Amino acid sequence: MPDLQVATRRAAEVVVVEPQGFINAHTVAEFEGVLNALVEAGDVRIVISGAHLSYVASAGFGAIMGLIEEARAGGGDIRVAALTGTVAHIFRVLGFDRLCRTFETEEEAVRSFGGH
Amino acid sequence: MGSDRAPLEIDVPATCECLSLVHEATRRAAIAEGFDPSAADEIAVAVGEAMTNVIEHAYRGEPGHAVRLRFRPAPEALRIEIEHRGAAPENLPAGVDLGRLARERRRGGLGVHLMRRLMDHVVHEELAAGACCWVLERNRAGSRSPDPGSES
Repeated sequence: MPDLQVATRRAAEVVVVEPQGFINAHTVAEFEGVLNALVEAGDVRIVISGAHLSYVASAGFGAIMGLIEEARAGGGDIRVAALTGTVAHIFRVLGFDRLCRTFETEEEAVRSFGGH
Repeated sequence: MGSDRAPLEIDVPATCECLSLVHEATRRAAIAEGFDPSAADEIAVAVGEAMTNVIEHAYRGEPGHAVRLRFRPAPEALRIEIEHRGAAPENLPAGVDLGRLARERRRGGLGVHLMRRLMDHVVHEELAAGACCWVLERNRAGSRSPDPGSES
């Protein structure tokens, strides 16, 4: 099984990005490439579902940090959902909960774009 | 692993391909030292950050270099040294401003911050004969995860 697989699917006008595995400096290009392609294509309402991530190093959070303002400038946002365990803990201790809206479930995160 | 044993040493190529191996080795060493799985995960992420820093900054991504990981158990803490022969960092950031980094579309600059958040002691030391070392320590007891707002 690869270290990281990144699936995407559409839910209304939102694109759900679902990485599976771990994100570190070795695997981040795959994750970042998906996010970059979405933002460049104007798909700027993005939910990242963390349900299947075992861990995320700073490179993964950096990929979100580097694109979130681009998504917002285009009228969208990058929001995260379903973080668990170490991933959720690192998200908080890095202070990303102040940069990025988070939701318990993917459905809540998708619905949150209803009013943008 | 006991506190009176010799340190465990592992030599690893300084490449991003080896990061997952380092993560797993560190995680297992921490669990063998009595840390619970979530603490062991955090320690493994911190060591991965130090290794990434060495690969990307000390060796500037050049191939053919190595890193020596050294696990030194002590009664109060697990000390992990990441020794290399690359360039020492000129300045370590005192903290990060995530909002500013995001506005500047920056994708890096979080690694040292994350190491400090996950470990109790983080320093970079210059040793003799051109060697350098990241030193990370995690206490065995005590609370973790200081308020992120305390450093910005």
